[in-house]
Amino acid sequence: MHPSERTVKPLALAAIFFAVSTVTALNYALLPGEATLEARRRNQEGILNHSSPSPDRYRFALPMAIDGPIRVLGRSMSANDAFDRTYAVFYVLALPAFLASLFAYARVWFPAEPALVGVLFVAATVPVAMRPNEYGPHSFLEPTFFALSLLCIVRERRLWLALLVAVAALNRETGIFLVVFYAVARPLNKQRLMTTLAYAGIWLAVFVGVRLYAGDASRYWTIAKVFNSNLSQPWLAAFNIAALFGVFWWFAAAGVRRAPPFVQRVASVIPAYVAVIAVWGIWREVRLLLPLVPLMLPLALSFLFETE
Amino acid sequence: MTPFARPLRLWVVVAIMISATITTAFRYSFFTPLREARIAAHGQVVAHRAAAPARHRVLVPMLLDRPIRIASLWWSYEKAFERVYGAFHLAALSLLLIALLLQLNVWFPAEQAMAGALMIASLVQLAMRQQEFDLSAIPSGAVFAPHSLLEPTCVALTCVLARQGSRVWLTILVALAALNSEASGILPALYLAVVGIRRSSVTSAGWYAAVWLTVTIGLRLLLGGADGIGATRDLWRENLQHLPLAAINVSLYLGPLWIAALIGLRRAPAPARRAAWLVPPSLLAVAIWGHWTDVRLLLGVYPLLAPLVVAAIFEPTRAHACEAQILSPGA
Repeated sequence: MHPSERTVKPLALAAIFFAVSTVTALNYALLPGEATLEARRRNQEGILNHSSPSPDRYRFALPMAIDGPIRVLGRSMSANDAFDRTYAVFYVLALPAFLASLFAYARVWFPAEPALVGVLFVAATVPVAMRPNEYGPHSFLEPTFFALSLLCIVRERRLWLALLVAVAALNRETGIFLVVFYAVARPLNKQRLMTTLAYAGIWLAVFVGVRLYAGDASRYWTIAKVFNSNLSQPWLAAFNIAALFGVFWWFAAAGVRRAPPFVQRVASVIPAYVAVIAVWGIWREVRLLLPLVPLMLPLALSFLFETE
Repeated sequence: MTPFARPLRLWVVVAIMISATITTAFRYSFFTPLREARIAAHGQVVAHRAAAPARHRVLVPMLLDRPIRIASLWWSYEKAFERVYGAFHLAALSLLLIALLLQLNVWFPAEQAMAGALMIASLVQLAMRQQEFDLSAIPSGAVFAPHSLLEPTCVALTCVLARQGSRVWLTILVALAALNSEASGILPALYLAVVGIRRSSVTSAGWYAAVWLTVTIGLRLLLGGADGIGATRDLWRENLQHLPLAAINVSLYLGPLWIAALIGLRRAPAPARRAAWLVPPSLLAVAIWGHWTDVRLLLGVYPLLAPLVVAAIFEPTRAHACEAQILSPGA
């Protein structure tokens, strides 16, 4: 049997993705210590009552969605336990969902086994993105949205992409990159330009809408504060960035030439995303780089494996 | 036949496995509140004053003591200890995955073997949890356990060497494994399981058992100290108290892949199925003498279960052994 004909059953894939991510999810959800858990609870509360500084205040969609189950669970246990356990369930579901979406996208370009190797490598390195343990649940949906949007673009699912753009923009302002993917994935003609503008309009509507809904807020993390924080622990940032994707950073760079044209084109967004994180992000928090994984993995796999 | 773009070079495999383990190794080495306990335990083993059976697990402490002393010329002893052991943990975990990859590649194509090894890379972090949090897997009395990281490597390499018929290397491996920990008593039986029972293989297994026994008894005669079994009753009481946590940890040890391992009992190649018969005695030994919450004690079982999991997950292919071996000849 040729490797490209060998498949892995969906149930087996689900078992693998849950097995390799549950410990990571539980470590992050339940074990960072009481002080961090308390800080997360306060963050959630601040977002829900619109007292958090920008930009957290505008990332209320996920906390709002999770607040319902927390309240239901809170009837049978303490509020703190309800919060911790509901989020544990969220992380236990969000990580396999990320791996599954990544596999689905990698599978477009590679046979099942190489795609699985790539995803399992990501699963092994992703724990570094869960340190430090601050509140950032939206970061664990972002890479899933990125991978799914690339799938939608490859398969020309325009309505699904529109929905994804709206949901991703509700989750975090980086949803704009989904629009950019669409713009760069194939050469722009008049129709694609119009579609791109429509997606940009959806993103802008959500972006402005959440700000009107949650009210004006000052920024806690000014660019000067972010910059000072980044310069205070450069070695930790360097280690975390290196550990996040390990030798696959090198493989990705080496695989650019061999990658399919679509993968090469969307990879051109990487420098822009990195620049955004470099200016506004805390470098040592490499969960901010997780959305790059769907862009990088096919490049790295192109170095190791033959594409389909 | 393999979809690898080019034969996998050794450096590629090593780089992938180091990348896959570096966060776990870093966390296990440097984010521990138990550094002092580790330093004390290391010192006791090196000075042959530790209680049995730790006293007889000399391989790693004796091997690392000199590098620590040399490194302490530049750094404080504590830092030197932490960094040398940090390098060891990274090397040992990477070696574990490489050995697992080679073992799986005996029976499965290269990319399936790689997938199997990378699954274990993610799972292994459960066993490396320690006292930093309240759901810790490692009891305080067992925070210094560098031998545990080498046990699965010895198991995986025994499978590889048994298949290759490398008697000299296997003899050396069994001797080193006996210096590492008494759990290596399983290796002669594993050899027999992998090659199958024949007159010649029984003789060879007898030889490996004799080597293991000689080193094990020699260590006890040389260093003294009897293995403590008096505390077994206390251990059982403690185990029963923490039964729910033990159940959680054991279920997370493979997660849903426990079911895959059971399915793989039918599909796996015959040697892997025979080797899997060593799982129950291994579990029984941990059940009697170990902390049930401490799934680190089960690390040596991963190489016995991984072939079953891989066999269950991937569609069986004909003539696995004819497919490309993972390392190119020039590697």
